[in-house]
Amino acid sequence: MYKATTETMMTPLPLLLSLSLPAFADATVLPTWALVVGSNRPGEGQTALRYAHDDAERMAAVLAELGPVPPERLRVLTDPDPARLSEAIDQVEREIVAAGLDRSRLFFYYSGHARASGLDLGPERLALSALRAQLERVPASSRVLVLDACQSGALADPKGVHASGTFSTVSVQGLDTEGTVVIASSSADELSQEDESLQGSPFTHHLVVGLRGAADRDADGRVTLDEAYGYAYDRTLLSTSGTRIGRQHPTLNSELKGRGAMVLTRPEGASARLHLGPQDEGELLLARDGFVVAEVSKVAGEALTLALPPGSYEVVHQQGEDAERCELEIAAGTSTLYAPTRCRRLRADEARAKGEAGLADRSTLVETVGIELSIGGTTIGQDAYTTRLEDFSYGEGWNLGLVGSARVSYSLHRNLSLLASTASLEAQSWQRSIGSEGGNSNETRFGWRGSRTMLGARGQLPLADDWLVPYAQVEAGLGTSFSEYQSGEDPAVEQRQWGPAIGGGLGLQLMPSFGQRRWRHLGLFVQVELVHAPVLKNLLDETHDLGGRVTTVGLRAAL
Amino acid sequence: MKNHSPRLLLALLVLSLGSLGATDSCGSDILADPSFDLWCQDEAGQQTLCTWELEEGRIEPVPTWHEAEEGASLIGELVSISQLVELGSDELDCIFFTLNAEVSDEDDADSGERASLALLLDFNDDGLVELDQVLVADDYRAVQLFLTPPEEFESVRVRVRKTGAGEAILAAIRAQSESSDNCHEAPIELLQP
Repeated sequence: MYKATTETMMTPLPLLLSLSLPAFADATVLPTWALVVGSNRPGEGQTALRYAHDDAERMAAVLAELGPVPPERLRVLTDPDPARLSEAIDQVEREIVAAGLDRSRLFFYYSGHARASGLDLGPERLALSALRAQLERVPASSRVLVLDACQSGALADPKGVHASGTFSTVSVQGLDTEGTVVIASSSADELSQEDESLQGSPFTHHLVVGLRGAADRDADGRVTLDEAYGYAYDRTLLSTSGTRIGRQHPTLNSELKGRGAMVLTRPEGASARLHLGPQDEGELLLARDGFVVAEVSKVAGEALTLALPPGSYEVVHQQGEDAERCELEIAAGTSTLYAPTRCRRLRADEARAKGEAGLADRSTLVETVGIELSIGGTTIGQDAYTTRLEDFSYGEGWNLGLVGSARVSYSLHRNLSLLASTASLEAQSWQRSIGSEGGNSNETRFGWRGSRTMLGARGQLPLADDWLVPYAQVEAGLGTSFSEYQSGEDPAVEQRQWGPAIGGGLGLQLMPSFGQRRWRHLGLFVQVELVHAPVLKNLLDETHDLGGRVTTVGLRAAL
Repeated sequence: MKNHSPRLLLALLVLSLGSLGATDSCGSDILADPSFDLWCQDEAGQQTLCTWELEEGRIEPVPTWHEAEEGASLIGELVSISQLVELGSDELDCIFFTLNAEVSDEDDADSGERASLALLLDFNDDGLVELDQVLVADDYRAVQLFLTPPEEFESVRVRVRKTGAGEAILAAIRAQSESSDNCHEAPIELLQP
C-alpha cells in the first residue's frame, strides 16, 4: 500500500536533475564521487518520513557494488544539518581538485523533505542558492543529481516554467548549470509517495532495481542514464497507478537524449548475478527476507542479467494468467541461471493483484498456509450416558477439560480460508467400588478420551495492516473415543467408537510484525468454539457428547 | 445436567480437573457380588452365579450397559435366586436396597409376555417371608428403598423372584447397611414359626 506524507508541498520525490547537456557523453563509468543523503527529519509543519534513510542506503549500496564507487569516494549522510551537508560537498570538491582528473562525475542523491526555497534538513533549511553555489564549485565534468524530495513535479520541463514556487521548479531553474543532469520523477502537482510494503519510495526502488540491471534494455551489461530513467519511469508509473495518491510521472530533461550514453552502473561486473535467458518471460518479483528486492518485466527473445546480493530469494513469476511462487538461490561469485525450485501455483486473486498493481500487495504473496497449535479447556457436561453410570453406582473419578489442537488453514482468498484440524476432546474416568462387609470389594473403573478430525471454512477480516484478524469458522468431521473398562483383576476391555463432530466458533489472531516483515506471520490467537461430538455410546443407545464450549489460545505461523 | 465451567479464558493452559475419588459412598454392602460379576459352572455345565443360590429356574450372563458389564438374565416363568446374609439385628438397623433391572413390560413385550420382580426377605431364614415387595424396575433405572428390619433377628435371606414369561435382567441388587436415621418406617414384623 502506498502512503503519502500529509503536507502537499513536501512529499518525497526523486528528482534526477539535468539542466543542460554535458559536453561529453561517456560510454564508460567515469571516476565518480557520490554523496548520498537521507533525511527523515521533518521541518516545521512537516511529518517525519520513514524510509529516507533506507532509500539512501539502497542507493549507496548499488553505487558501491555496480558503479563502482570506491568507499573513499562514497559518503552517506543521514539526517545532516545544512552545515554538515555543505561541509561534505566542500570535501568532495577538495578531493576532486586533488585528484586532478580531466573527467570525473559527481553523483548527488537526496531523499527527504524540501520546499521551494531549499532542502528541509530538519528544522533548518539549506537554501537552493547556497546548494547551487556549492555544486558549481565542484570541478566535476558532469554532475548527476537525484533528489528524492518532498515535492510535486514541474520538472518535466527543464526550463522549469510550471508551478512557480514549487521546489521542483525553483530547483531546476536554480541548478541549471552546464554539465548538470536533472530529472524529475513526478510531474507538476503530483505527490510522490512512500510505499510501506517497499519500505521506501517507489521511484528510488525502481531506479535502484534498474541500476542493478533490470533497465539494461540492450543487454550490453551496462545501465545508462536513459535506460535507468526509462525503466524507473515505467515502473513508477505502473506501481503508483492504483494508489490513493495517484500516478507519479518521473520526468527527464529531453535535451539529454540522443547525446550518447551516460553509463551509471555495470551489472556485468557484479560478483553475484541472476541471468534470465531469452526463453524466460513474464513478470518477475524477487523478494528476500520479506522485502522486494527487484521486479522485472521480461520479454521473450532477450537476455537479462540482474546484479543482486547472493542469498535465498522468493520469486513470484507471472506469465499471462498463470503465476507461481518459487524459491531461488543466487550464488556468490558467479552468474546464476534462472532456475527456480519448489514452485507452487498462485491463486487467481494473487495473480490478478500482481498484474494490476505491478507491485503486488504483499499480503497476497504470503498467508497462503497457516499452522496453528493451541491449548485450552473445554466444558464437561452430564447427559443420559453419565446418568446411566450413576445408576450403576459409578462415581466420577476425574475429568480432564484440558484440550489441544493442531490446525492448518489454506487461504483461498484474503477473507476466506479452508481448514483442516485435529484436536483432543474431553477425557473422563469413573469408578465404582462395591464391597461386602467382609472386605471382598470389587473395583471397577471406566474411562474414556476423545479426539476429532475436521474440515471447515473460515471467514476472516484482516485489520490494522493485518495485525488483527478476527474470524468466524465452521467445521465438520469425525469424532472418535477410546474407552477402557477395567473390573478388578480382569483384563481391561478397550473400545473405540466413531461418530460425527461439528463445531463453530469465533477467534482473533494477533500477528504483529515487530517492525520486521520476517516476523509478520508469527503470532498468537484466541478462539472460542462450540463443539458437538456425540461419539460415546452404550448398549442402551445412550450417547455422550464429548464436545462442549472449547476455549483455546495458541501460536499461529503463516507460510 | 451438570456443567463444569471452563477453567480458562486467555491463559496459556488451563487444567480442568473435577473431583477425585468421588465414588458412591453409601454404607457397606451386605450382599456378596451385588453386580453379578462372579459366574461359575454348575454340575450340568450351565453358567450360574457363584455367590448366589439359584433356587428355581435358570440364569445366564448377558451384557447390560457395556459389553463387559454383565447382568443375570432370569430365564423361565419362575426364577428365584437368593443369598443368606448372616448379620443380625445388632449389625443392621436400616437396610438400603438398590435394584437395577430391565423387566419386560407392556411397552416392550411384543409377544405380550410380561414379567415382574419381587424382593423377598426371610429373616432368620426360617422359611417365613416377612417381606414380599414387588419392584417395578425398568431400563436398569435404579429402584431404591429403605427398609427397617425387625428389632430382633439373627440373619436374613434376600431373595429375588421373577414371575412371568417375559424377560428380566438383573444388573445389580445392592443391600447396604445404613444408619437408623435413614429408616423412618416401622420395623418389619418378624413372623414366628
